[in-house]
Amino acid sequence: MKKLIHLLLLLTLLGCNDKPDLQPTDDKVLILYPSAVLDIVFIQVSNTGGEVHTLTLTDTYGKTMFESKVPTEMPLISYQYTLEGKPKGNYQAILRSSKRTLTRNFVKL
Amino acid sequence: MKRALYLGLLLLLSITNRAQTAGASWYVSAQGNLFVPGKGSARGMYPILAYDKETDPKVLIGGLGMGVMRIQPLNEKNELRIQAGLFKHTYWDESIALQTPTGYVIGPFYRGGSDYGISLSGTLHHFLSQRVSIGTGLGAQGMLVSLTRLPKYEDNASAQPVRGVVGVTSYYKKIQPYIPMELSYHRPNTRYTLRYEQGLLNSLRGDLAKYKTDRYSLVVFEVGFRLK
Repeated sequence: MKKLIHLLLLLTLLGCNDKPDLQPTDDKVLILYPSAVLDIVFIQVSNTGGEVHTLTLTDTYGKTMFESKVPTEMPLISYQYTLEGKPKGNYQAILRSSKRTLTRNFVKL
Repeated sequence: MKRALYLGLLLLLSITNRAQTAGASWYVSAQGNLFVPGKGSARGMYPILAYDKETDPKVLIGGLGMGVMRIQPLNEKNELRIQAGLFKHTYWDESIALQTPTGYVIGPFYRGGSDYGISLSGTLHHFLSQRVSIGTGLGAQGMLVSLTRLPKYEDNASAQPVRGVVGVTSYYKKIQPYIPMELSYHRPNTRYTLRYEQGLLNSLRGDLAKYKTDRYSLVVFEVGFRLK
C-alpha cells in the first residue's frame, strides 16, 4: 500500500509538465515580428472590419510605453517601435476594440 | 478587499502572540510546489523534477522552498500554525514562436520563469483523528524578484553569441494574498502537509492589469521536522 502511494505520488509529480500553447501566428489581425527583439519590433494591424482599434505596447513593468488609435480608414497599418535601451524581458502588444482584445507577448534580448 | 485581507492576516498574527506559549513547538520545513495556472493565465505548470527532451535545459527543477513553523496547541482538537519561509515558484512562461527577422516562424521556444520571495501564513488546524488534521487561514507572498529565461541569439553580423539569457519581469504584484487549505499527517517529530494556496488577486499590475488577467494557485508538498 505504501509503495503504491509513493508510486502514485511520483507519477503525479512527473505528469505535471504542461507547457502553454503557442500564441496563434495565423491570425492576420495583429502580426508582430520578430518575437525575440534586439532593437526594433514591427507590428501590423489589419483593420478590414472597419472597427475602432487601439494598439498598446507595455514594458517589463506593465506600464504603457506606446499607445495609438488605429485609423479605421486604412485596411492595413504598420508600426515599428524601437526597444533600444529598454530592459531585457517580457513585453506585450495589446489590440483592443469594442468586440475583443488580442494580446501578443514578445521578448527583448 | 486588499486592506481587509492584510488586516485579517495581522489579526491572526496578533492572536498567536496572545496565545499561551506553553506547549508551542517549532519545526523547520522543506517543500516542493507546483504552480497551477488559473483564470486568464497563459503560463503553464512546471514539474518539481523531471526530464524533458524538448527543452533547454533538459533536466527541469521546479518550485522549492523552506521555512519555519510555530505550532501552538489551542485545545485537544485544535492548533494554530504560523509559518514563514522562502520560496521559488517555477512555471512555464508564455511560449513564443521564434521567428527570423523577416517573420518566418522557426519553432516554439518554451521557457521557464521563476518567482523568488518570502511567504507568511497563519492556519487553524482541526484534528480529524490523532494523526490527521485539516486547516485553513490566510497567507501572503512577498515577491522579491521574478526571472524569465530568454532565447539565446547569435548575431550574424559579428558572429558573436549574445547570451542575454535571463530577463526580469516586473509586472507581477509584489504582495499576493492567498487562502491556504491544508491536510496534514502527524508523526511524533514529523509533519507531512499537502497544501493548496488559492491566490485571491490578479497577479498582474500596472496598465497591463487593465487588459489582462493572470490568476494562479499553488499545490505544495511539505515536510516539517520538529526542532524542540
